[in-house]
Amino acid sequence: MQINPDLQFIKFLKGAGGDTLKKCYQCATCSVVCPLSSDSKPFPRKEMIWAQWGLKDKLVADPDVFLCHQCGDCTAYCPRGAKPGDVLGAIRAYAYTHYGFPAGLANLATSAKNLPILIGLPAIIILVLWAISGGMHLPKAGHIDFGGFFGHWDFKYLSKTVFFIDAIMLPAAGLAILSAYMGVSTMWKKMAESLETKPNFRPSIVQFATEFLWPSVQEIIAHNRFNECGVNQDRARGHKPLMLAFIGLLIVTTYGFIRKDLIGIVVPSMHGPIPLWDPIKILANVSAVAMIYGIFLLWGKRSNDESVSGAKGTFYDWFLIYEIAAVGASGLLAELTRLAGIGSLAYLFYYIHLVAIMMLFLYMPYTKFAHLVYRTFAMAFERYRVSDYIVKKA
Amino acid sequence: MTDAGGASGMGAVLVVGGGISGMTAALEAAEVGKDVFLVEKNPYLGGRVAQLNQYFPKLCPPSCGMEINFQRIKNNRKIRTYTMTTVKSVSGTVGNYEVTLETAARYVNSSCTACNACVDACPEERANAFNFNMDKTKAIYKAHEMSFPMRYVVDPSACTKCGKCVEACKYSAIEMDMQAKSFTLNVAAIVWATGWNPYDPTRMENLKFNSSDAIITNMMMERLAAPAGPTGGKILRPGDNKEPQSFAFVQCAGSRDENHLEFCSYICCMASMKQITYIRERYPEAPITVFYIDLRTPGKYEKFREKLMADPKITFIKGKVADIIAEADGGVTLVAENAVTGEKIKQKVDLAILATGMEPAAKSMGAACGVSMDSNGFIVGDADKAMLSAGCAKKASDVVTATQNATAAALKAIQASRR
Amino acid sequence: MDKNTQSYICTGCGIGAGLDSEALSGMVSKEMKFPCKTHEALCSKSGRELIEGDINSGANTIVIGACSPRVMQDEFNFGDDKIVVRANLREQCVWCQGDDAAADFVQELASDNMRMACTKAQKEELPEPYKLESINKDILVMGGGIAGLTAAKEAAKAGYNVTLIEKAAVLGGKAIGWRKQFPTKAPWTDLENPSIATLVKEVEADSKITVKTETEVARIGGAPGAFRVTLKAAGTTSEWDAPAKVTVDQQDAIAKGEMADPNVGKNIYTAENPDALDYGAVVLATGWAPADVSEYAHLGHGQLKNVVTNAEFEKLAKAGKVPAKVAFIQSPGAAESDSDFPFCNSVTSMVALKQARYVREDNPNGIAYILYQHMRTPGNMEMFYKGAQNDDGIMMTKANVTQVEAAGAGLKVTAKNTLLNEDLELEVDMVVLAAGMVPATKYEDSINLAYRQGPAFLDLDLFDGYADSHFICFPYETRRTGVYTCGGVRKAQTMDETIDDATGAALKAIQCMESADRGVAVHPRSGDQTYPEFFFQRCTQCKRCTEECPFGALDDDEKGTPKPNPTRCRRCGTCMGACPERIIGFKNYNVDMIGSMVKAVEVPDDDEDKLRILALVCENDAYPALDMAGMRRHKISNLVRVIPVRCLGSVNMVWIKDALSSGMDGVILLGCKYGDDYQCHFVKGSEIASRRMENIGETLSTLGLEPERCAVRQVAISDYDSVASVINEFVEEMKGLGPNPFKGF
Repeated sequence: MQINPDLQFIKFLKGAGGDTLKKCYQCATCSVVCPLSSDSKPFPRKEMIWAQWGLKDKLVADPDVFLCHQCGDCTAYCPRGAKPGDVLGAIRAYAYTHYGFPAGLANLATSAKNLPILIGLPAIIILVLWAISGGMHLPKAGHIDFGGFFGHWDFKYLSKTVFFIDAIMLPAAGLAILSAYMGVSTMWKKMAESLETKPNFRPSIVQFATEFLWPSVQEIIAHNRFNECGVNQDRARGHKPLMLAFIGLLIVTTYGFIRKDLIGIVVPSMHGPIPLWDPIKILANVSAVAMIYGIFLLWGKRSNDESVSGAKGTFYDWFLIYEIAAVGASGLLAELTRLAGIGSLAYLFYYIHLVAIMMLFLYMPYTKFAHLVYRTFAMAFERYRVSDYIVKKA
Repeated sequence: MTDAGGASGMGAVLVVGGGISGMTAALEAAEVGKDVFLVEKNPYLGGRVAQLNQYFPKLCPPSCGMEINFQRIKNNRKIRTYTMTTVKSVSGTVGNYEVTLETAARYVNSSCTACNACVDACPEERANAFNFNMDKTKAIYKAHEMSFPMRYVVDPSACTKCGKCVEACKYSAIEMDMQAKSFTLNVAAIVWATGWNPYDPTRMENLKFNSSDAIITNMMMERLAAPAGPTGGKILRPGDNKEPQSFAFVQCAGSRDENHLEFCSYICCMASMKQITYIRERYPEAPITVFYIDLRTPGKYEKFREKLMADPKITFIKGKVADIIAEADGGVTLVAENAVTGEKIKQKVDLAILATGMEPAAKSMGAACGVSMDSNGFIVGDADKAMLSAGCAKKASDVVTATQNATAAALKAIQASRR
Repeated sequence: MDKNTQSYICTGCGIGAGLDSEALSGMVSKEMKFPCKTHEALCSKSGRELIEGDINSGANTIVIGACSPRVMQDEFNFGDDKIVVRANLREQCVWCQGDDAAADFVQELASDNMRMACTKAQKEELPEPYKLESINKDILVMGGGIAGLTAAKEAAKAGYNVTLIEKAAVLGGKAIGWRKQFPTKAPWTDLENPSIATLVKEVEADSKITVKTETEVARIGGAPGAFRVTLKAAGTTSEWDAPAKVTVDQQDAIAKGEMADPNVGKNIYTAENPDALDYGAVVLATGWAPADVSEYAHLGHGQLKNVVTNAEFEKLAKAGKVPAKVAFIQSPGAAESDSDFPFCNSVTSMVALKQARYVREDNPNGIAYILYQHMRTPGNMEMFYKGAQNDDGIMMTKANVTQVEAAGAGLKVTAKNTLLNEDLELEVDMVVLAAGMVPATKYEDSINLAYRQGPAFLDLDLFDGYADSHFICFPYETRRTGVYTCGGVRKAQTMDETIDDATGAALKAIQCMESADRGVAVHPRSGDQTYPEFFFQRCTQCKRCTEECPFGALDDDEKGTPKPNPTRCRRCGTCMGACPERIIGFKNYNVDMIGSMVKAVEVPDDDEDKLRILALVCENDAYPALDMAGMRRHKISNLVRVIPVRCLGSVNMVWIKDALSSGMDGVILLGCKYGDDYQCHFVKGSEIASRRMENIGETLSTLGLEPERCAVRQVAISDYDSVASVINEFVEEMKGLGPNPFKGF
């Protein structure tokens, strides 16, 4: 292998939480104490030296980088204080930007100094749309319905608000999905290239989904790997409710989308807030609470770890925490103030809520949030790597 | 001269620690003509090397050099030795230090002839720390085969004062009411040669030292191989006394590790190489695996290593053992990553030897005596103050290096005592 | 001194129970003419008072039959003006006899031990220390590098005058070429600026130190306390250059003209230069030279531009900027060997880490690759390794370097078995090979002694040419008393190691001179006041003593008779063992004394069962092993009579003849291990003894005696559990052979 170390890459990793990477002296303790590391391809020892040597191409094509759950067992036992867990986190941060599309947006999402733009962009878009919607007015006290947020029009079957929200969120979500797809597929290609033995035939979409993707998803939902973590059990306790919350909210949103935005076009009664006793509404609220609970745990955990280890927090880690906290908090506050009938506040929080959600969609593929796709597919690849498609050939 | 009563001599040198380094510093100074006081906390001289079966790379018995040094001490009127003695405090300045020392009660006086009658009479037993508790001695015991002074000692924690030994002793050598004595010395210079302790293996949680008798330390291995050791020189697995059919060495067990000993303990690689020869002598065919980070067998030691590398039944794996699993059959499985092939290794063996490192003894007692230490507990000497360090109290090293810098310390002490 | 004899038998420690002490005491008084008393514990207060009482009433030659002479030395020390001989009735008599041992056999063993002790006491004389007419206490230090400078400085600090000589025009040695030096103190992480200039200044400013640059030693004659040293201008030859050793065969070849005389134009070694300077001791610190690594063709040193050694790289770095991409190769690799280059020790790992930092200091985007097999930073140097790791541009891996070749303007390095789990191809501007440090003593005589045994240290091949001691416990011992080595000639070492090493060597030099001044021996018989005395009237000039002395103590005088140099002597007695004329002896240890002790043993000539076997035992290792065997109550045949000897080298074959002709049935010598890993404290003693014994075996067979009756066995001090069977097996062998046919003649 031709070696061209990239000192800039090393600098990036050091800035992104991997400041200890050069301390590693390759004793391979980490690969043994890591509960997730396999016998045939243990990590993160090899990743550490690749990182020390600035070999970014090898790292972004290495599924093991994404399999790491950063539970910290390796860091706890490392004789040199090289914190492999944090280093792999930094490598992932780099990978998301590396695979991110469009590159401009991806790079934007890597650093705190871009926050004004990162927040400003959706804030202005929504504000402008709100303005042109002509809906910009405070509701009469008492009965508040966010359905009127963007005002009303006489084309009664399609709620104006729903229209505007779709106009905002659908492109954002679409972009996110496209970008995630492109990132993941490049990653997959790179990983496949890095295999010693090349596959002689590819699985069909169905085969892929059933043999590799679905088992991984099940594993993720069960949090099997998280639960193997030794020193950092409580991270799983925070991550699980958070993840379930997102699944819950996904269901709610889809339901809401179908009910209001599609059926609503023809059935007027489908509009308006969903009653509190509606199971879907209950799910929504439970999820919201779970989300806030989960993020609260993770928040506490991380700030505690940092004060213990003295390590300074990274934008990569904190951005996602703040972001999710914002979504949760603004959503809940919006609802409460609505029920309390404080119109002005309700609308303000609702506005913030919309901005937060748009950010979540927009930046998902480039921020830590991206792990939900990249890790899922890396886990699928891990199965693929040892599947008959590859091994038979060998 | 041995165990002289409290004396003091201006311009004299005090050597703290009667291991190979302390004895060397004391003798080299005394043979120039200086008055030397040599104090040792154990009931015998010789320190750590007294526990070793052989030295590397010559595979010669340390007692050989010890015997010469003991003869040198016996024939030299300039040296006074005090065993079971520790430094309590140091005051004064270079050229005139006043040192307060305390000699613990040995309960056996100089009338002892080492005839062994007391041991035969004693009904109580104690775990034998000299053999790392792998066997027992009576409550009144001889520290080890060649202990010097050749005299018994009572372990008060095991003794019930039943008086049987007192009756048995024809030479009224046993004084059950003996008390600790403290005394002071005035000296011009002090050489600290307080040596090292084996690092506590239980502190490496992932190596689970207590989980199996099949996990021993390199110092335990020295005693197992020693003719006067708990097994009479047979290498048997503690607990079930099984003859192990396979062995593994776990290098850097605690050394080169921020969580334990930050520094390299210098000797462990060669110690393991040496112990491989112990095993080969007794088990010519047994497979042996060595897990290492780097094999530090530089210079003349490289030849020694090359011989072992040629043995087809010895495997060297670059990768630190980070997990040990106790097995039902009494053996253990060691887990490491072979960093060169990038594969995880799970090696099942009958006996695993942890190459534990050296913890400077001063770490625990140094501060009390006002010596300055680095962050790892090694004593930082100061020639201008005639506060000197030697051997493994100064830095982790092999015997040759230790005796070298002990000889150097002797000259530094002499320079000070001339002022 | 007129001897007033007195003897004692202790009945304590089971001796009284195991022996008929009254009968024993009666025998001693009657037969040996030593009035004898018994006491239940001679070492006790009352016991010592008993002895002191007799001393006060005139006794001055005392035999004590009790425990081993290795114990109770203080208790039985009655002053230097008394002769005290100990007979071992405990460890090597009653304690090594089971309860089942036949009483008369044990009694006879005890009796013989007493007989031998009394005989020794009769033959022994008080020592008179050897004093030089005039002693010189100045030290000559050879070599002006860190080692030499330190030795000089430290010796001067202790109050001694020193002359420091250096080949080069300036002091400082290799160190003046260094850009930076390794850390010498905690936290051990960072490079330091060279301190050599300061050291040189201190030495040059020291009034007790005389510095002579561009100077070499032509020859060193004489002995500790009285060395005669001829200096010369560096690089020149002189009539006083130390002559090369010429063996007898070479001498013939030269005579026949088949070989050129290497010593043409040189004065013979015995010739004394009237202008020679006097010194008391010598410290050799002539250092090292960078190793030649061109033999490793695949690495291209000497062929490829920009493939340099670490020493060459240091020069470049000192001179200015180093290239941006550099690969440091720590091990020749190629084949599967994972050894470093020869003569490396752990220093070259440290050097690579240091020089990698130069690459980074000089190039913001520089990259230094370190390809090692084993990163060797022992002890506190681990922290230096740690420090170097933290630099972004220093890349390290274990690797077998397979090839260095030219690639465009630069070089390509290929390596396999790396930690990246890939074979590597590195494009670099320069490759640095970790060449070792070859000791000056490997190719040069260095020390240039005008000694009969030649100008250099002996048998250095054992240590790859390093002037090493081979004694782990006694690293400064050399085979040339009064000459101590330090620094690069001893081993490749770092600066702070070297400083300790040189300081220690200075002490040994001082110690040797002070011992010579007191007229006592140095290691291992430190403090021994006796020395070999020669009765030259009977010397046949056979030269065996001069040949066999392990320490080259003996020269020839003008007339060709051996010239002892007592201050060079270590008192092992190898010369005494070598001498066929038996004219060499010590006041308390000589041929006649031991011979008489042998003859003092009572040999029954009518009893088939009562064979008598003589054991001549090394007092340093085998004898303690026997004591231990006794303490551990191992049974040792009571047919054996043990006589401790200073070293097997001192065993004179006449003792064996004495033993056999007095009817003893076998002789066994117990001595230290010999060969490459010899344990003999006098280096050669046990080896020489075994050679002599082979010869005597032959003579025996000519006399019709089985050569098996004489044997040598190697016994380590730790063999206390096996030594008994070593002896007992030999005894069984003798029983097999049956009694000595010469019995009763």
